[in-house]
Amino acid sequence: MKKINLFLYFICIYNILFSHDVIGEQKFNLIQEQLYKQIISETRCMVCQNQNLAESEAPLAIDLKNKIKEMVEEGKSEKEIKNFLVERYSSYILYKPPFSHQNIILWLGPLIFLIILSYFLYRNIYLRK
Amino acid sequence: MINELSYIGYFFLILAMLNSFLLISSKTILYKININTAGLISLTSRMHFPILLLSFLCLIYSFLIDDFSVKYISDNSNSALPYFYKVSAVWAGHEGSMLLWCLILSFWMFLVSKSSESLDKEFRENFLSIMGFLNFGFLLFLIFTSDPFEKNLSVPIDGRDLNPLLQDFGLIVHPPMLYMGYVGLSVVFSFAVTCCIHKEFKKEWATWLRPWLLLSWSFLTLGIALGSWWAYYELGWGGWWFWDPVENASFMPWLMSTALVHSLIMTEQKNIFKNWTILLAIFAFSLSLLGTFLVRSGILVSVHSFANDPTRGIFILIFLGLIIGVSLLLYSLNADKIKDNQSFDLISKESFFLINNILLVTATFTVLLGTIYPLILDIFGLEKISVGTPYYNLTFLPIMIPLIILAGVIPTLRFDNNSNLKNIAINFIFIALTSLVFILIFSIINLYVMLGLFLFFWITINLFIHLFKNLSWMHIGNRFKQNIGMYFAHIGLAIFTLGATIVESNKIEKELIMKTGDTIKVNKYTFEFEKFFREDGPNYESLKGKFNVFKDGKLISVLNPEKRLYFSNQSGMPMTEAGIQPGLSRDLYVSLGNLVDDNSWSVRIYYKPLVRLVWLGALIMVLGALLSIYFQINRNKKRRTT
Repeated sequence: MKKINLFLYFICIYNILFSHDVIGEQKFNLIQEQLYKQIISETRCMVCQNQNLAESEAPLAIDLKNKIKEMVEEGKSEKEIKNFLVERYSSYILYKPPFSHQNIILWLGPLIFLIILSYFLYRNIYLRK
Repeated sequence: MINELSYIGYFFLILAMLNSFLLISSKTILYKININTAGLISLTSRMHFPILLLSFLCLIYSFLIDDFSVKYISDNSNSALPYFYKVSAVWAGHEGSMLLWCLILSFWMFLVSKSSESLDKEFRENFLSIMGFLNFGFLLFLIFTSDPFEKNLSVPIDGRDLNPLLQDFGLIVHPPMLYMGYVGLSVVFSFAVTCCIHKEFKKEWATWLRPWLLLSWSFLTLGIALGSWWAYYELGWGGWWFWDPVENASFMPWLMSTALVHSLIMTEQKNIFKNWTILLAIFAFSLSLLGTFLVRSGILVSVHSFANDPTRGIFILIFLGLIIGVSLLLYSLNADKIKDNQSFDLISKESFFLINNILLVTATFTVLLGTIYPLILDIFGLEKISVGTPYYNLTFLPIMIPLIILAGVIPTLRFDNNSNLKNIAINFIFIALTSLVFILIFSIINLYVMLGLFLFFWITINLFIHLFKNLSWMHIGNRFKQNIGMYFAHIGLAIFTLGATIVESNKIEKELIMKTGDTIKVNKYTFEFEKFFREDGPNYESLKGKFNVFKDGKLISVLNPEKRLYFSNQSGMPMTEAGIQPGLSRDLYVSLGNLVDDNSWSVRIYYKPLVRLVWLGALIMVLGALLSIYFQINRNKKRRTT
């Protein structure tokens, strides 16, 4: 038992230092739960390397998950919650970048590429016999 | 005495560099002064591998005897580390994994040198010289920026230990497999560049090249699948693909080489797409170099960039630019002269192969764009963005769906005529009905699952109908042998698709707080958190949870998720080891989060239906490629003897 306590001590220290809260029990309904899960799987944990909130157990992520849960329970929509997150942390937090001027190539690039490549191959393989 | 081994290892590195220099100078300098270079090229291209192997063994030995005078070893090992991790720690950090990279590169060159006698003499010599150039470049990089034998100024008492995340079976197998694939593409690349130099791409050359491409493709597939499996059980999040930039770095060459596999079939069988095949080969290897650059330079911040150094990044970037630049230059100068001898109709099997290629290359481009776009914005100081799963779901998946549909239909088409369009329509109706029956029986309401199920049936039923129709007149003849690999590979894809869509749509993920004694019901399974207890490993302390899983009141499994604290990393974060009960139909997955108070934990409980099919599908694809290689080599042998 003594041995366990020593180890628990380490893990607790870790928790006391870095963490305050853990995700509480889920009390909301199915649709809300789905929305919550969707949002936390599409947002980045800001203190981790490349993890979404759902995966992360960092204290900040847990705080943020609780906040998102609260907002979902209050009946806020996906858009409202995401706006809140972007306002607080910039759109870096979203794994789905906004469709803006800056990201236009990102979103339309694949389609443009598909068209150019098809034309290129059509010209080079069919028309050059 | 023992310390000297690291000097010997370094000596072999230098020797290997001189050897590869001799190899490339044979064709460029020495032959001008009338030296017989043919023997020299054969010899040096074969010697390279044994020399590097000796160097590699020196490093392994130094790891095993805990020679902490070597910086790389004191950084990545520890005297308490189990011996098998000491061996795999050789490639756990940057320097050692670059040595492994060089070793594998030399191994491929060795194999090529041994089995390329059937190629034209001049072609073979140029081919090996280009491989020699790649070997030389990477050795320069290794010796001047990433010397694994570098000494410490003062010898530490013990090593800093291997990153706990990497102390796992996954590390032993994943990097070597992946590197075999990455580097195997160098064979295809060198071959393509040689074709540019010779302004020719003969049909029999394509036949020679195919097994090499399939072999490196197999390793790449296996490496990626192993990485996915490793991430699944090690990270404790239960995901199998994260669209992490480092994963993408391996996925791009895979997509590109898959396109290449298909275009090479056309070059070999129909003498077309020659030009295009060469271009794809250049791109496939370039992408694997780009992946190395992205990972090694530390430009990406992700779980994988364990060692970063900008000067290395610059060296690789220059080397990369040189290789891609020169090869593309050679291509653009000579591509015009490599002409297709055949033509084909707009609506034909050949066209479908072309569409397959267009889709695969567009998919590669999409992954590339998603990976580097945030970096480009960052370089220009624009707003930082994150590109993740939702982006790829919207852009990448729509490209994949028609591709998978093609995988079920192209094999059933014939080159000569298009009369089987009617059959396709009949098959379609039959398959749609079959899917409908399944949808009704299992009362599926999720659209993705419906789609996944349809695509699965589309490939498997189409291929089976085709197989049985042809069996009567083929009686396991040559056609069958030629196609069997393809059947397996495409059915592997179907199985993967089924697994991926179902696990992503029907998984159940619970994150909750459990006290000992608590139970929770997930799907048909009841999880009981009985207790947690201490059980230490050789170099870590561990707390294990005991979860009893019941189904219909019967105990079916006991899961032991763990939290580990490594001795070498006492102040760090405890590592998570998930408790998994694998099964073909579903995985049950439990991982421990944080300790909340004396006896309650935050716990993740996952139910993952058909997740095993994701990796099983990949394995079947590999099996298909291996069968293809086997039958092709047999065929080539027969052709040569007759």
